[in-house]
Amino acid sequence: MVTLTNEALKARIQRGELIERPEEMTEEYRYELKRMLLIAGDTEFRSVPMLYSYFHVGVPYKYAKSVLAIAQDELGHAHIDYRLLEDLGENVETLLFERDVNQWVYPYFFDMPIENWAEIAVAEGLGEYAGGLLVRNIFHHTSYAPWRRALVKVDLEENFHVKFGQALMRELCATPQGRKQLQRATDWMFPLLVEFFGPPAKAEDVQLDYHLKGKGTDGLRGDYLEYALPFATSLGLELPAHYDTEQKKYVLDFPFPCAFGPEKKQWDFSAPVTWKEVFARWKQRGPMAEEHLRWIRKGSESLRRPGSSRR
Amino acid sequence: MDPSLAHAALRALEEVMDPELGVSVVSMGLIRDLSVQDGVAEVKLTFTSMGCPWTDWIEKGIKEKLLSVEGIDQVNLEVVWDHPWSRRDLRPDARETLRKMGISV
Repeated sequence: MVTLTNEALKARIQRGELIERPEEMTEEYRYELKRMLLIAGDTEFRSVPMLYSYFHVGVPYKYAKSVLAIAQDELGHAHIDYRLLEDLGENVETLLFERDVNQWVYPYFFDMPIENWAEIAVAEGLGEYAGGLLVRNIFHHTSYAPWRRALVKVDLEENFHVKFGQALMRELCATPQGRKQLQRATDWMFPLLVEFFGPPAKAEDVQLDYHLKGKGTDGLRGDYLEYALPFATSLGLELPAHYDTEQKKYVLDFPFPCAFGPEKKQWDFSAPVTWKEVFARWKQRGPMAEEHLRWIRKGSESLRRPGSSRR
Repeated sequence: MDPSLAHAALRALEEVMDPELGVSVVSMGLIRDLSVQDGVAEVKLTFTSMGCPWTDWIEKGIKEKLLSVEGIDQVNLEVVWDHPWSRRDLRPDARETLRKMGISV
């Protein structure tokens, strides 16, 4: 029997071939694929409690069904990722209901409390785009064929969520008061969304070698700025970034990364920090992480409890 | 009745997409009737279900698109439920797109 080496698998993938079955994978490929599936699934899934929290703020009736539809879409996307993880030997029940809060892997952004309609609009209009970039980076490039097939509909839905968010932001911008609220929301959300893609790209990234994704973190961040800046500016909002004509790209006007106070939703642009400090904040998780996880576990726990009845 | 305007209106509606599927409202079979007379477009529209979360969005899209057609300056939309929408209302192009997305039609 010939043992499949990582190099042979990389060469095969780099010729443009796709992987269909677990037997075709090396341990390394399998590990990286599972890692990416878990991050993708957790990101989709943990966006749902945030969407649910919009109803605590108050969603105008005409948008209520739309917000629910978006939450349903995200659950569906998470289901795809977790379902593929099941094929690779993971137990979804354990993943969803038995992991501790800091064992989840999703952007810190979803741990923030949402407190007004402007924050909802920005979370959709600017936040959904960040999520969509992660999906598209996989959809257009992944060498794992079952994942690529499953993402066709996901890509389309994520695009639409952005359009919905843009419409909400445009609507709010129609009044000076609304624009002021949007600016306040953007001030704390935008840097978190810049951070969303993770630390600077590594010189060597085996996920790129295996065509599990097309771009590293910096590439995605660049794409994000190319969307966020023109759109926000068109609404008269100010973002701490600008287009640098010499570098021919958008650059940030604040030290990245820098200190964030989640309680006050405030960035301190005069206080650069190290990535080690950012990782520590992420690991500790944000203000709503525990509560959101309680919501997720609540139904499952009540069903498991002896003598409990479904209400 | 202005047949050339009605034709232009239909072409315009082919650019209004069902937000969840990226297929036009015409190909989805949501437009039940369309006529234009004296600058007024009369549209009979249905949705794939009564619980469709994007009814406002689609209606707004249709109105905006029709008003952008030269010669149309008013749009009257009527939502109809008889007969209820079913997959038989899909045009062949929509059927093909949905199948590619993994939706069984």
